[in-house]
Amino acid sequence: MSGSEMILYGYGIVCLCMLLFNIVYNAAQNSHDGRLEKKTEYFCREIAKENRVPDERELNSLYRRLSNINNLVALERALELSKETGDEQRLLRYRRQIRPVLFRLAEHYGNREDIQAAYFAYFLFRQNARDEEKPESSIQDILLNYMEKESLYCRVNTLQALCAFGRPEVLVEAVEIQDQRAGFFHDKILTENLLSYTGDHERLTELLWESFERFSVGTRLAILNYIRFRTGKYIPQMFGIMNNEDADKELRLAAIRYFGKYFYAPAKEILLAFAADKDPANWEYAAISASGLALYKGEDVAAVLMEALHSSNWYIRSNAAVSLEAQDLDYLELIEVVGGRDRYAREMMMYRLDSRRIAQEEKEHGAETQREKLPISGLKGVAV
Amino acid sequence: MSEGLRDLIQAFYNAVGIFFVIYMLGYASFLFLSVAVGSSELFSARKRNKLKNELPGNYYVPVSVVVPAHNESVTIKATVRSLLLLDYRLYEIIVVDDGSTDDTAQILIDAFRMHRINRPIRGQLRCQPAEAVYESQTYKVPITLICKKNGGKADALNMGVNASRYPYFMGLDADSVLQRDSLEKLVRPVMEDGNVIAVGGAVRPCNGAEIVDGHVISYRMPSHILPCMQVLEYDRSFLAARILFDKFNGGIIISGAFGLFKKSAVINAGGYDFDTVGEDMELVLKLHVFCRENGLAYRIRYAPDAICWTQAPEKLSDLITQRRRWHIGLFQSLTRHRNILGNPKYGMVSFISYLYFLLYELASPYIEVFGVLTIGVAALIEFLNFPFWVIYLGIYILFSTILSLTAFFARIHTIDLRLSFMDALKAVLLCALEVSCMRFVLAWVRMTALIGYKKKKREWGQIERKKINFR
Repeated sequence: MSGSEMILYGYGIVCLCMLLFNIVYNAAQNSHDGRLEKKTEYFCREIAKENRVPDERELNSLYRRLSNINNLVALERALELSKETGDEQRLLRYRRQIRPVLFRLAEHYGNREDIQAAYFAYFLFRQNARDEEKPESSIQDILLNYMEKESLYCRVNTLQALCAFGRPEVLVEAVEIQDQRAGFFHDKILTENLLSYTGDHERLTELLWESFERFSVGTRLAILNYIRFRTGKYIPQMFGIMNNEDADKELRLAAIRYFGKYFYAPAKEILLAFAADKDPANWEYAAISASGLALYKGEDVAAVLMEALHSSNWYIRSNAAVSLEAQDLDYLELIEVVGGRDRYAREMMMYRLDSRRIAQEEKEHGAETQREKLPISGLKGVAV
Repeated sequence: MSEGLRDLIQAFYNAVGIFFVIYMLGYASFLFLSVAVGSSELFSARKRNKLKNELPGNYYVPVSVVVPAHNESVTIKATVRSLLLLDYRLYEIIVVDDGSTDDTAQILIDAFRMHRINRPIRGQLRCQPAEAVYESQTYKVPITLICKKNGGKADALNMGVNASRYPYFMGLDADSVLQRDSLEKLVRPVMEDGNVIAVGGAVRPCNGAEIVDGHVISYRMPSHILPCMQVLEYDRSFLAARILFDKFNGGIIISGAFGLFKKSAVINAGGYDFDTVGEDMELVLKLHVFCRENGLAYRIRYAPDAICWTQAPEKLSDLITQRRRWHIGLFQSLTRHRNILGNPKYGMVSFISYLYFLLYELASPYIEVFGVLTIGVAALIEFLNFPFWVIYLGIYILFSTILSLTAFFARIHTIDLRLSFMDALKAVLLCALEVSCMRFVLAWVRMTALIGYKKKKREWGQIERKKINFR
């Protein structure tokens, strides 16, 4: 037999093995589904048992059982089912009973592969979110180790769990650990998780701000966005960032967005200056400021926005047109005055006018608008 | 036959034999690797999903969905409806009617309460001007319809990119529908890696699938033989190979039917090229070139769990039209970016992906038909060892069949689809037919695709559309 024939036969045998694996996997999967069903029923029965404090031996047995990830999946399913069908008190009691086991499991899964650790973090998140009971603080401390893991899913699930637990000090520490890692962590993931935090947001923002300078730009950006959606109490800090020419561009833009959400009279002059800036290199500042000026009134604002309508940059024109709508001006008249000599400005304003007309018609027609207001930026302001 | 001539023919056949051994070994190795890696990745992904190792669908980057449509009155309503059912929250829908001569636009205007509007469109990419723009604010996301003069699919996509508001856009064919979670899963690689500039989704033939409210409620092998064989071919050739390419950032094709792109990257690279019928592959190659030449960090990803259901041609004439177009597109893309070949700057993209497409996709029909002809001639002049040939053919068919079935069942098992016994049997039987017959028919079609190239290089050809089973 030649070498090439041997290779081909070799490949064929491996492929046959793969096909066999497929068939066995499918059979095993079907049987696994059945076993999972039985295990879930077992845990449902356990949860439904009358008030009885488990002894040390039973807890050890439960720990051994839940050390197997499939049993943990079954327990999670059982808890969800019981939530739907059983009574709340019984569920609470069961969770309280298994709390010492969870603590040991946190250590156990911390030493297992990332995929299992991620599931355990998910389990904690799901179960904690169901009632007012908080897991032992020490579990949260163990979970901090999970933030060191390689898997992004594990870190995201852990962050989600820590946000649900509501202890700000631990959460800030988790953010710090994440920040020190070299890997990529999308700022939207961090912002959304912080927004889902169930504890005292005021305290959390305070702690985050105390560590703010230590964080990388990406984390700082996520924190600024989080603060923008949560509170208008950070005006001095945001004002400082907006005016700091040495600050990172993305951070300054986030600060400008903040003043587009929260009115602050002294910010008006700065926003006007940004919006009036004709330097093409600064177009993003101009575009976002033009958007933010919707919150500010006055002839000076209208004048700058009208001028911005003639900008060669599409986004500046578009945002200025939207903000001009918010000014108490006669829009048709405005089109004649401003748009008459500039086709692009006129087109943009006509579009705004048409949009308003359609929205009005829809409203009158009674069509149900299901548009949802979203916390994350993207709809408003520049989108490039 | 003289001794000298006989020796000459013998030498020729020896050379042909050596060439084919190397060629087939290369092909078999690639197929084997791709199916092995593809299947194992699908199983790992299933395990990850079962254990909730997935980014929850709460993180949204805004996406503009661009649907180019030309005479798509049969399917366009179902396509837009499927888009409105997406679980995703932050997106807009832009349909570009590329000079349809049927009532594609009117169907949309009536079905989705669209109003004509004077909307200025930013001319960032070259395309035919808009003739009319309609908008609807009635639904959970804005829908825009742009009617323009016919300029081809690339031209329509460029118009959609120009009109888009968001930093990412997704191209979707007008004869395709999405599952509820498709966009969420397509966006996931962007959340995982900041350097991702494009993500391709998995395109599957919807013939035989029943989709209700964005969920696949039943899946059967298509009743016609032709789409059935395409189902098997899609799994072996597209699904498995793309997963393998994804491992080393080597994907050079994202199906035009379903792909997500970072708008700024596409605009910087020059957008879709309307001088080719393979604008999808051309764009991805262009992105590779743009990023590599400018030293930019980038990733082009493949998301096998983001699924788009599309119609596989049911008539042979339609399939021939489609494959002819694909082959011309492949030829145009590879020749336009020939500087990638053997260029160390492109690494694996050059030495694996480009080379694979050049040797085993573009050149393969010529090589295969040449192989069949030499066998025929060898039989005529009694140079063919017939029993040996039969054994080799048998091995080839068996090997390809096993690979196809492995990829097919791996896909079926890992996405919780249930197949009836009869469908599984059908798959097994048709696999052999696909690798032994359809492959050679398509090789002939691809080989003749470039005849009359100058005339056909911008022609799309018409493929019969059927209503999609989407409720």
